[in-house]
Amino acid sequence: MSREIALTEPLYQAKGIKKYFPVTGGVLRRKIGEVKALDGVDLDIYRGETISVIGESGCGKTTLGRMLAVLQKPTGGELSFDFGDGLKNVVGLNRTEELAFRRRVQMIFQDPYTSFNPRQRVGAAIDEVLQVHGMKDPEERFSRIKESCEMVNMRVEYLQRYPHEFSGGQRQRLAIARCLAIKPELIIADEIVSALDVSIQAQIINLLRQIQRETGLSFVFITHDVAVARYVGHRIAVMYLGSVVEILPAGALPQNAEHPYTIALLSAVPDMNLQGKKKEIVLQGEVPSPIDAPSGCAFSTRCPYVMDICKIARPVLRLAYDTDPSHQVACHLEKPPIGA
Amino acid sequence: MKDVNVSFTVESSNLHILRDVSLQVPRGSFLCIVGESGCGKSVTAQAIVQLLPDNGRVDSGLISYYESGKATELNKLEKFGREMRSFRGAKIGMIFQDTLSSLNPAHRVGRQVAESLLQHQNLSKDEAKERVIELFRKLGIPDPERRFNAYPHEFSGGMRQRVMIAIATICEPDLVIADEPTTALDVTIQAQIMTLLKNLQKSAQRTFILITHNMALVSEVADHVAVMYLGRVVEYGSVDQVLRSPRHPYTQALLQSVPSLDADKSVELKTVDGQTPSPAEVTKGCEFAERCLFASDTCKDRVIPLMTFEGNHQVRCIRLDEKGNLPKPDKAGSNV
Amino acid sequence: MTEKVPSTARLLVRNFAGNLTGMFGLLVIFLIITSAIFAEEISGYNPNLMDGMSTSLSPSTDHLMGTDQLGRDVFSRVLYGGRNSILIGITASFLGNLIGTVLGAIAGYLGGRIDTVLIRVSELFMTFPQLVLVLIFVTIMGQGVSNVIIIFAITGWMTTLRLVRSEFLSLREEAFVEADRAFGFSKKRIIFRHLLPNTMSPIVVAFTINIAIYIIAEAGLSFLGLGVPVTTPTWGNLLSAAQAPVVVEQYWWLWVFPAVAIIAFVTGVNFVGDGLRDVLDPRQRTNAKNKTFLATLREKLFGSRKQTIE
Repeated sequence: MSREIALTEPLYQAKGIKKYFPVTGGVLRRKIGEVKALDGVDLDIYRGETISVIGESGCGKTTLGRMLAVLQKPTGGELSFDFGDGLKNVVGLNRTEELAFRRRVQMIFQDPYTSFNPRQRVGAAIDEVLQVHGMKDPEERFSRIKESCEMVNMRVEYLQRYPHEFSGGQRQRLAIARCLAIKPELIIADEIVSALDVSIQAQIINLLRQIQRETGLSFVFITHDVAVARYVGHRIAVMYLGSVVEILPAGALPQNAEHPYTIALLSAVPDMNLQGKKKEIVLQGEVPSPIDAPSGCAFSTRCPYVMDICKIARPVLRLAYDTDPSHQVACHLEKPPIGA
Repeated sequence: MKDVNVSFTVESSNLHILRDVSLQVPRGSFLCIVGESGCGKSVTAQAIVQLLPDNGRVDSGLISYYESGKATELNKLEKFGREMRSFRGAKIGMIFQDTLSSLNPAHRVGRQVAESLLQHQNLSKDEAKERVIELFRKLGIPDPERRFNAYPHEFSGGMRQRVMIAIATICEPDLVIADEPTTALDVTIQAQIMTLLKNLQKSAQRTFILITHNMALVSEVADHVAVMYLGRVVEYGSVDQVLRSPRHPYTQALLQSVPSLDADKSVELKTVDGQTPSPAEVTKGCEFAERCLFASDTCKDRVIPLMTFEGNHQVRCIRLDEKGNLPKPDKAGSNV
Repeated sequence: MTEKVPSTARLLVRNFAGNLTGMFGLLVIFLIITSAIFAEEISGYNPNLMDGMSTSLSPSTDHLMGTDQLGRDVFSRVLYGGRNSILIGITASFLGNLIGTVLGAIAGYLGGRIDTVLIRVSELFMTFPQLVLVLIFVTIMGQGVSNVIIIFAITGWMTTLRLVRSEFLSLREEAFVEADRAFGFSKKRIIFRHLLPNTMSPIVVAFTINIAIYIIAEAGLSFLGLGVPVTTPTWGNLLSAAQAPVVVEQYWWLWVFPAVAIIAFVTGVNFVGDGLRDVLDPRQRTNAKNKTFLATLREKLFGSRKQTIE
């Protein structure tokens, strides 16, 4: 994987992203509360890097992916993308601008079984994407499609088939090919390997790394699997209940994690090699519901190191104790817990 | 289980799902059956308790349950007869993956657990309720008296799984079979449940069979491991033997495809080409031969016998030499 | 995997060919429709020609279905009547479906206020018993074949709307729709080229059912003298002859034949609808090795042979 990541100007920047979903209830169906799926997320994505987003269910990582792909409008915050000369806002664009954005930022979804129109041959599906993005010459489209197929190791003859004739792993490869066809700059991959068998998962992971080597694309890799996140990404963003609690370089895992949640998460991951070497922190209780998120730090209800301030003030991302400039933590503890 | 063969009838053709499966589970031990989708691990569990779907049946073989010197041939019993039913729930407890569909959404949770108790033992309703609440407490369900009357959807995934564990263990069975119990759960909850299961096993010297696709989980709880591929047990041994010195090419590939937390990122994940074929496609020889890097022509023709190495480490592969090592790979290893 | 994959349409046709009820229904309506189209060749009589000399004759070789009180040949009236009734059934169903589909698609996909408005309007129409609505419109617009078609269409589009709307509501959440949006597809493209083809099956089934419904509705209407005037024969107004008890008792050929025609056609259409419903089930679509009609027949008559592997 390319190690030359320009840590200067980000390709894509999310600032203070909030996404609240209203909860209606009662006879008159009035709004009685809000689900705070995302409560102030800051994230910078650089060219040529893969940033893995991890967290458990309800942490908001899928919602973040959808915000980044602007499939829905955020309730608050800014999303800016660098089209070539500086960051520009990408929410509320007109049709031409939106198309220009979507050409550069693509998304692959989790369920390989439903992300293709079941009644459309897969070749036609990819062809349609190229048409929508303005490629008028059928010859040109065909050669572009051929190129994408080669990149994902898919034989072109298979393109005349329908989605249901492929296996889950093949469908994900087709989904990747579909994105690659328009030569994007950033691909958001939302749990794309979670529904696949382990050996197929490995194939897809290797494929993604290879594609990044060859094209210099950026990836946002959303997953719940910590080991895969670390293996695939250059940096890792850890989310809990709607906010990012830690961003760290992949190499800093597992030894240099600083946020108590990250540490607990790591200790819960079953691992063959770390047998007996890790301290198992079994977290008590369950993740609170996003409707009644606790005030102050979201993790305060379960954190083994909770202090009074944690219940009142929300910690913001700041540089980590280990002085690595690409490592940030949102925690009131001045030093990471001992013995982690 | 000895030489068990199971087939399913799908659209008027027979699919040979389990192929000569033989397993011996010592009392009080923890066995994990590992494999990817389509390998037949769930079917193995279903076959033991005779809960195969309508279009499946055990074609041959013996499934025996031993207790106090007596052996009962489970697959010979009538599927819904009294004797088989007395096994299910009372002597053999089952935990499933999908808690939402395994629990009746219309009944309160306490009642569902008590039902199992009332069915198999002679207790009054009040006594049963007492026992259920006690078990809830032991399993870490907070506020058990109130939760007794709750409905399944009022619980989170992890709590529901504890309820399922309660149903499975309330009659103190000697054998517990858990089919992917934590696959749908978050990692931190998974850790809680696995600790619980391991405690349940140790505290009462119960026999556990855990079915999973997660090798790392296996390393944490199992005593023995059986690796399955396309209906056949391809490797069996203690956790140490199988995970630290895997001998079968498939086991090796499986272990290499999963990155560990301290994996070297500059090294590509070693994986296997292609995907698991359907049972209908492979009828002769080794099921894994098509994708195996070490396969020879004989591999596709012969019935592959089980070879046993030291410490009862069993491998079904003819390419191993006497020391149990594989030759150099014939095909170039590829990663995509 | 090198065989050429048949298209969905071809698979559908093949699957339908294996469906016994569907094929039987198709046969029946094919026969009836052909005879209606070739009415002139088959009957040899002008349906409106009144032969004073041959009034009220019971069926004979000359007049296969007899003649009515005015000397008109019943057989040719049934054939011509079929033409009109079937025309009404098919056109009204098609028109009503078209309106319902377009409105349902818009309501289902766009949602929000447009959806609420359309739903309220459809509910408004549905609060009136359909018969009352139809009668009101007939009084306003007058009788006649084209009027009846229009009236049926504008009083019957609501069910198709609800059908299409609910399909769209559920399909809208499907991942491939999200993917389409992520690729920047326009709403128009998504609605017409991706969502609509996926809702075709229920629409087609509803179409066939409605044909049957409208034929019976027309029959009922004309029977009461409120649908198509007697000058243009339809099965319904042929039946109206049976209003008089004496006809029912003594001149049975005047009403039995139109009744049988209606029953046969409606049943045939329903069978086709059933067959279509079985065949359009998405699970069947993937089955490329489906049996032909003859094979199904053979199996039903002689029992099947189990195949086993190994």
